[in-house]
Amino acid sequence: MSKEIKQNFGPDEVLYRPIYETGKGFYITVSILIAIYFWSLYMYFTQVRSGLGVTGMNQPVTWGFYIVNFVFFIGISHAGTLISAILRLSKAEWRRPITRMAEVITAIVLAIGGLHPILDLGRPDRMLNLVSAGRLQSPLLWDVTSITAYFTASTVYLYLPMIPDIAKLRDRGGKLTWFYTFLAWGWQGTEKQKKILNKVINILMIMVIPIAISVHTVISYIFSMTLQPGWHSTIFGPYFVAGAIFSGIAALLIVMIAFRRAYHFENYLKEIHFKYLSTLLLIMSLLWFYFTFSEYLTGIFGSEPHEMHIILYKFTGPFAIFFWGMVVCNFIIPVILLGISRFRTIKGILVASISVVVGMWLERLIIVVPTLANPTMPLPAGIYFPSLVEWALFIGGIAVFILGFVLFSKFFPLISIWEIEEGRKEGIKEVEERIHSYLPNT
Amino acid sequence: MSKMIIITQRKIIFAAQLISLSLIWIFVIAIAFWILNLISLSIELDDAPGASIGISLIAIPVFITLASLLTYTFIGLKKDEFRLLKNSSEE
Repeated sequence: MSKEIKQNFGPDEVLYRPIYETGKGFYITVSILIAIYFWSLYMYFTQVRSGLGVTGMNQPVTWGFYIVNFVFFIGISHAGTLISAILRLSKAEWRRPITRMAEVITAIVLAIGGLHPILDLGRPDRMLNLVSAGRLQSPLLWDVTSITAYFTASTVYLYLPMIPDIAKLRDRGGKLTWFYTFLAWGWQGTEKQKKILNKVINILMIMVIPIAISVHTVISYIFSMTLQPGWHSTIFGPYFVAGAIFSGIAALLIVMIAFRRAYHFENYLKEIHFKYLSTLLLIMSLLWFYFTFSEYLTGIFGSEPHEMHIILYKFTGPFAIFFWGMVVCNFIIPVILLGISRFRTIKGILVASISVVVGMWLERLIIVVPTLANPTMPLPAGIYFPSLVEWALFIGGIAVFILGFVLFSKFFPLISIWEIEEGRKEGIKEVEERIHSYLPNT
Repeated sequence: MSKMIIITQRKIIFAAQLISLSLIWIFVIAIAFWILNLISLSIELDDAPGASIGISLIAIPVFITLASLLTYTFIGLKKDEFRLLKNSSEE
């Protein structure tokens, strides 16, 4: 096998460049992220050694940052597989440069989010109890099952469409030829191979949508299946799914803008992509507001004392700043920036996306903590301040996400090259045929 | 590079691919056994076994389908590669 790298791969050369050219910026970024990772790892060992006493969790607030971040990260994971599958299924041609990034987000964020309940356990060895004496009747175990299924499905859904690109890297040669040969599964680009791959991708994209929806619905069940005020709600399932897609689109937009700038993907990620995705973000913002309004209006109209106590705790109590911050970040800022065309530039979209990610994190916080801080039993109200350990693990989680994404871009193209080529060759013809099929007199 | 080395490398990579595919099946079978174990536990303790069976009816087929799709793709791609290699060696 040749160790020499073939140069110049045509019009998509820029997509290979991050893999074969490593700048100073890459090493600096990776070093900083690894340092943050080791710092958070050290903090985690402190927690394992000393117990959960080093966190801000207490009685009655027994869930804090770890569960907030668990719900938040799993929500972000809906960026990928779900959005990518929906765009593929609806044959949206503009999806081609976006799908890979979306799928990578899912795989990395799911791995990070899925580990958070272990952080919350304090003693990680207690996970073994799940194997020997888990109760499948508990929504907590539904979570374990559905997240594992989603992680498996989204990893497969990321990997299989990557095979033709991995084969291109294999054929290009270089030190990692053996690695790409291993992953390419003998892809030669024959008609038969294309047929098989397309068939499997089609099955997967249909399969992945209900799995993704089930994951966040099941996560909402760990709250809504209890009889706690503020949690016991029938709309929590769709509310969580809508919120997850909302934060997922925002995260995808941030990643697209960052890597477009870092790797000069301006010719691939054009303004039109951002406009389409930001329209989706705007729609999701309105949908989120509708769900939030319905959720709180029902509670207020019922005026059940415990429920009202939690609602007032959020509206005017210690959590008011977070609640109204959430409304500003998830509704007011995105609606202004995305609804008025003058502000709907890439910078405006970036600000709106960051605002939504922050707002969705605040939403997870105000769902988890206030209910626990105000027990229905005659006990004093609790208070929760996250400790340095919890902050460290939160920052560590974000660092691992960025690190995972940067490392992925070092080994694989962030934009699906074969899908771009296919779009150039067949996309126009396909779209024309589609228009002929549904428009009269064309 | 001699033909012999190339053939050996190809064989090693193929073996590694088979191992990785086997690992996926081991993972899926382990999950299926785990779920079945939890069902038997719920029956033994008379602890709402219906719910456990309901979950397993969805979860186990999902994992098996995913592993089957991977296996189908692997066999399909490899078959065509071997056919191409055979043709090229005959020429």
